[in-house]
Amino acid sequence: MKLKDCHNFSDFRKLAKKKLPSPIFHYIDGGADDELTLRRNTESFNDCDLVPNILASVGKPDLSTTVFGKKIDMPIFLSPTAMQRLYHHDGDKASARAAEKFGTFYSMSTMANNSIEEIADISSGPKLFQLYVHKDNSITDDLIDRCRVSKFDGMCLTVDTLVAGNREKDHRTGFTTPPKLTLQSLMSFALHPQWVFNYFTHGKFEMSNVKNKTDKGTNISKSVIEYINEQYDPAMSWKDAEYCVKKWNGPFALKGVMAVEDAKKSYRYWVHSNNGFKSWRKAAGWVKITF
Amino acid sequence: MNLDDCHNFRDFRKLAKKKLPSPIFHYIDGAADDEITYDRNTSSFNDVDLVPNVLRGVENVDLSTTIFGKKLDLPFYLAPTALQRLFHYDGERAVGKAAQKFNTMFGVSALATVSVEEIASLVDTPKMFQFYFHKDRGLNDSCLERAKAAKFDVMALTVDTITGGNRERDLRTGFTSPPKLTPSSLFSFATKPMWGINYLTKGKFELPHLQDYVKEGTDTNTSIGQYFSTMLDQSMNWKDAEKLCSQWGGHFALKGIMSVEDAKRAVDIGCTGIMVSNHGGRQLDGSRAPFDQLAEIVDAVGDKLDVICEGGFQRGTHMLKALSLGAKACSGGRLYLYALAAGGQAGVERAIEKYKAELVRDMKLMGCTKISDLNRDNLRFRR
Repeated sequence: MKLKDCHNFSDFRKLAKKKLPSPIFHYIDGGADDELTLRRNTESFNDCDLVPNILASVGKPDLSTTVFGKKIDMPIFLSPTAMQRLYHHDGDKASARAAEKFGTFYSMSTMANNSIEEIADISSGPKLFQLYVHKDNSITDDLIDRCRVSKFDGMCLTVDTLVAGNREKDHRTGFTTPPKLTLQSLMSFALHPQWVFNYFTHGKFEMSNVKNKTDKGTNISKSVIEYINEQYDPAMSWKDAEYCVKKWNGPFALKGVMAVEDAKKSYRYWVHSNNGFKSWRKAAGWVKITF
Repeated sequence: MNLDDCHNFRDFRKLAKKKLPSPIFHYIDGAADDEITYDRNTSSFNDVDLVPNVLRGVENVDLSTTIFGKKLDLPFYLAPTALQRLFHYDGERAVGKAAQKFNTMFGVSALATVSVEEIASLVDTPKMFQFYFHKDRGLNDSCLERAKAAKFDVMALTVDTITGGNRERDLRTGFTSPPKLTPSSLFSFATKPMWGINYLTKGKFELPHLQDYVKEGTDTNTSIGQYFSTMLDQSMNWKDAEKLCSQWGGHFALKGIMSVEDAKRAVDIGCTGIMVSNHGGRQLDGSRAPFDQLAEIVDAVGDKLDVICEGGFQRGTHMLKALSLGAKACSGGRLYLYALAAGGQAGVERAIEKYKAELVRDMKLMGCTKISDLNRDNLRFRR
């Protein structure tokens, strides 16, 4: 199976499964608890049917839309996701370039493996940065300042990952914190030599955006879950969000709003998302193994 | 597979299945008729979605709740279940000590295999005694007096077992108390030798609350359905319940209430709580699920007594949903029985620990720091 055999979402998923060591595939693929919400996220679309209109002269549909004050060429964009270097050695560079080509937003996670500056350098397309509120304010401030200098177009604050979700597959595969290299996981890395080769030959794996502010998490032998627990502020409140909004002073979104009440409270823009009810635990697991 | 591999309800169930002779496993696992109600008890939770709130500052979560005038550290407790020494040789001792460790309540069944006196000497956290109304009035009085003397905090009268449910798995496996070797069950007992050794070497199997009055269950093999049908008083009515309530003179609950009308009558006769329950789907198949019926009952009597939602819970999110609808607490039997079979006291503790961790995590993700923060605004029903 090759890229040209991929015609839809499930095809890409199938090929990704072939290419990735299983802990990494399952970090992308898994959800919390019984994964009911993960499934419902897609199923929910099926409870609604489309009613087409005809004879409407539909020669060249215009897919463009405007979000965060930016006109983009299509009504979808790439959400911020952590540590893309694990999925492909080009990581964020690949997704940023692809998004630029199609005139839509690329989004960068705080936990990206490329720096804000590096991505600004290679892409002039619209860019969104995903922020976490750190206990150490200066880290948050630094990220916001750098995004401004690098001319990111929008900022979003994730509000639904104050605590890691319940990723039971991690417990089962032994990818817990602290992670253990089990026979099972060793096998799955050994069975994907191409991935391992690329991983080690394409530059150092790092948390590029925060490496200068803290040795935690950059020194990757610290697990990511520990990073989250040590660095992110579980007491984050509307006041903290407001601080970030003011500090950024540009298009700003809350990511992970579900209640109407919270939507009303939001300041300017919001992104509707439940983050796939994903946890960070899985990431914590393999990081220690591969380094 | 061992206890370390158990991370959720299903895992404990799987391990219990490995450890128990099949008639005993199926006694826990089975339910009435086609087990439709049993399935619905859990699937009912999936028809409602949680709507979390964000940015509320959720560093510390307090799960404590007060029922029957007792403050518990958790919003769920371990429902009384019969015959626990068949599931693990420590039986009620293991369950009681685990509950005590987490400061939550647990229930001792009239069909318990450890006496109220022994439990009282082991456990000083809140305890419930579950009572069946027997034809033998001497037995009834003795149960009440012993539980009172042992300073049990709550008396729960089971009202949904007036006759035995049609538990077809028990008919097929030939489950009885005490267990009986039949040609068909011989194999399953023989393949679980550890269970057999423990059963025979860890003290005699007894039903200490009943055996002075009835032979059934100890000296005479009986199925649970048979026991309910022959030993319990089918003429039991509201007057009898009222009399028991005043005879007990403390916190008194009816276990197995489903209709609003009955919930109101429970208030009238002086009950301080009710368990909305269909006996884990083991009695009337086709009965409504507790969670489906909960809102009606809470609306009618929620301000007059403690409404407890019982049955179907397998996840912290299930409990959050029931608590959001207005249940004061959640309870369940299978909730901890598979864990008991899987690993005795350590198993029950691990199960409680898992549910507690789920609740804390889920509360934080919901933007709630105490149980009273949960309300119906958190919920959206799909239909």
